[in-house]
Formats: sequence, structure tokens, C-alpha cells
Amino acid sequence: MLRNTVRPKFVFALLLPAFLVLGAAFLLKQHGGNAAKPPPVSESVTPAPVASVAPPPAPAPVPAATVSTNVLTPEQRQAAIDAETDRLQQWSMNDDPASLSNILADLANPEKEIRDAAIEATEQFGSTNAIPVLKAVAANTDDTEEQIALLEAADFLSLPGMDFSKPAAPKTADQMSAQAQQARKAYQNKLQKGAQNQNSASTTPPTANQNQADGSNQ
Amino acid sequence: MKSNKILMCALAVGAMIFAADKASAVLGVVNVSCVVLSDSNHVDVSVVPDVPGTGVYKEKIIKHAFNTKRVLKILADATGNGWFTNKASRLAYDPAYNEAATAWYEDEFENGDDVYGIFYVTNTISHDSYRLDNASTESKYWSYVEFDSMGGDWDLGFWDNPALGENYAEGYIENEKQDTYSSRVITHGLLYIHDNPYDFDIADYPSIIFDENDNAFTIRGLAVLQYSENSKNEEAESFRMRGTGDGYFFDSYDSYPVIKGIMEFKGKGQGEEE
Repeated sequence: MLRNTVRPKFVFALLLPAFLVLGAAFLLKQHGGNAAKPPPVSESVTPAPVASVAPPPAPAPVPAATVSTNVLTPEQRQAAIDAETDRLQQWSMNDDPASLSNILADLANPEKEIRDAAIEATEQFGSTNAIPVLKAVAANTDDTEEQIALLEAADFLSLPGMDFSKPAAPKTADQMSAQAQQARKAYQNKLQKGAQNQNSASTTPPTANQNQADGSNQ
Repeated sequence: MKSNKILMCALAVGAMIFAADKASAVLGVVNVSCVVLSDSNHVDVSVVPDVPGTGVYKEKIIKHAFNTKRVLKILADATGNGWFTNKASRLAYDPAYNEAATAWYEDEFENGDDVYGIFYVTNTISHDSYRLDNASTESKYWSYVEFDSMGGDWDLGFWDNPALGENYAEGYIENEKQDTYSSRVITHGLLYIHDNPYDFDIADYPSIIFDENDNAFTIRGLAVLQYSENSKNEEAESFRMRGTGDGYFFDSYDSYPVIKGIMEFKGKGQGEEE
């Protein structure tokens, strides 16, 4: 009889803790599972290489259509430069705003020869309006020599002009010719006199003891 | 030795032919720009104390500029040709043989040196042209402008005074296959512009500038003289001289220093057949 009453109690006592352990394990798995997660992978922290993210590089700048289609021979190129420098020469002797504008535009010409001619043309044109442009172009030029030329031209234009006056009573051609002839004769006489003095001096060179160390000729 | 002499003679003859040939018509434009120093009294002759009553007087050094337009003004006043200052007038030069100047030079110095170089004022609109020296050998020679230089193959203007410097350096490239030639000479140069036409030849008469001129100036310095000839016998010549000099201007009775003077010439033309 004892065997019959103890055996169910013993089984219950064994199964109860087992259920409790399983229940606890289930609860732990449901709520405290993050602790068991693996550490984050390092590559997810490191930023991705730029190349793989950035857009493809922009294509190299395409040369201007005029250059690629109009290929000039060296002779044609030189002829074009000569034609433009001739125009600059003509503009430089004018005094209208359009000519000055054309000259200033050529300060940025891709051809150095034309830019040099344009600098010269600004000096010949002689307008102070060119000064700020010359300075601005100089500030954006890498060529030191060209920078100097631009700044010298700006300095030149900032100077006042020289006053050229004529005398009230001009001389006649005969008067001028006679005076010039007199001046030439006077100069020739001076030269002859100098040559004679040299010759006479050279015939009597100073003796060694005449030339003193202190420089005095006795 | 004999073969050396023959070679030297051949070279000399070649150089003479070249010198004569390169001096053919290569007309071009001349640009001049100068910076001159003067005292302030040149501008304002009334000298008064800077601050009235103080007795303190000052005379400042002032920079002035002049360019080709100013040169044309001097020449317009001197010749009476008002059109020199018109739009599109320019100073032109041809390094060609100058018969009238040579005749005067031979008469003056009794030697056979030829004179090269002729200046003009031209106008591209009206097509006026004025030669700035006397073209006639029948009357007294006169001249307003001269460029004197001597070195290598070049012999320009009046230049016979070694004291002014005649040393030079020369380089050249001759391409026999392409039939081209170019040379570059660096030597002394002197540009003289003046308003008394009889006060010329400053190379032989250095003080002539102070004779009877009312307005005159010089630029002296090292000049780069370039010459090139292509297979079509087209010639190009260019000079660039940067230096200093004298300025002499009416009312001042004084000579002022030209502290920066630049003369540029570029010419092209068809060479003469050899």
C-alpha cells in the first residue's frame, strides 16, 4: 500500500522542478536573448570605400570645337596672329571706346604674341580706363614676366603726359641749318683739339718717379 | 693658307650680299614709349612756398609718360603736318638703303659708309605718307628721326663712333633643306627724335641734341635685331630696344633723364631677288 501512495508523489516531485527549469529557460530565451547575440561585424562600422559609392568621374573636358575642327597650319596660325596684331596697332592709334574695348579683350587672348601686342597697344592708346583691367588681368596671370609687363603698362598710364610747346617765333630753315652747321664745326674743333692734346701728352709720358703712390703727379 | 683666304673672301662677299639683300623694302610700324623724370618746376614755373609764410620751398621729381602719339605731335608741330595727329596715323620705318643720307655722310666724312634706314609718318585711312628726311641728293640733307645701330650684319643709320659701343653677340639658324634663315643680334642702339631737322647724326655729334632743338629725346640701350627669311623669299625684321636716354623739352632749358625708353619695330616684306 505504501508503495502505491508514495510513487505518484515522488514522480510529481521530480517533474515539478523539471518543468520549472524548462519554463525558466523558455522565459530567458524570450526576454534576455540579446545578451547572447554575436558582436557586430567590424566591416559594418568601417565606412565603405568612396570609389564604390561615388559616381563615376566626369569625362575629361572636350577641346573646343573650333580647335578640333579648324586645325591651323603653323603658317595660318602665324598669319592669324599677324592680322590681329595689325588690328591692335590700328586700334592703338585711335581714341574711341570701341577700339579700347577691342584692345582690352585681347589681353586675355590665348596667343601670347597677341597678349603682348595688346599690352603695348594699351600704352599707345593712352587711356587711364585701361588701368583697372590691366591690374585685374595681372592678378590672374601666372606668367611673371607678363604680370610685370601688365603692371608696368598700368603704371605708365597713370603718369601725366609731357608738355610739348613750340616757341612763339619759329626760326627759318636757313637759320636752323646755319646754327646746326656751327655746332658741328665747334664739335669737330673740340675733337681735333682733344686729339692734339692727347698726341702732345703721349710724346712726353710721365717718368716712373713722377707718378706717386698717393696719386699726385709732380 | 690660300684656301683660307679664299674662304674668308667668299664669306665676306656672302655677308655683303646678305646685308644688301636684307635691307630691301621691309616697311613696318614703330612704337615708342618713354618715362621721363623732370622737376616740378617744369610743370609749374611759379615757385611759391609750400605753406605760405613758412619759407619752405620744395621741388619734387615728377614722372611723365609719352608714347608714339606724343612723338607724332612733336613731328606734326615740327613739319607743319597736322594730319600726323589724326586717327590712324603711325610712325613707320624701312631699314632700306638711304641714298640722300649716304651722300651727306660721304661729303661730311669723306668715306664710303652707306646709311640705311628711312622713317615715315603714314595714315592708313587717308593714305597720306610723309618721309621724315630729305629724299633728294640735290638739296641740303635734313632729318627728324634716326635709328643708329651697328653689330653683326646690321649697319643702320649713322654709327661710326666706337665710344657709343659697337660690340655685339649674334646667333643664327640656317636650314638648307627648307631654305630658311633667321638671325638674332644683340648690340647697341640709339633712337633720336628731334624737331630741328638740321640737328641730325647724334652718333657722330653727341651734343647736337642740345643745339637748336625745342623738343627732342633719345633712347640708348641694347637692341635685339631679328631677321628671318622663308623659302618664298619673304623677309621679316624686328627690333626691340629697351634703355634710357635724354629728354629735351622746350621751356625747360634743361635735359631730363629718360628712365625707361622702349622702341619696337616690326616689318615684313618681299626680299629682292639675289
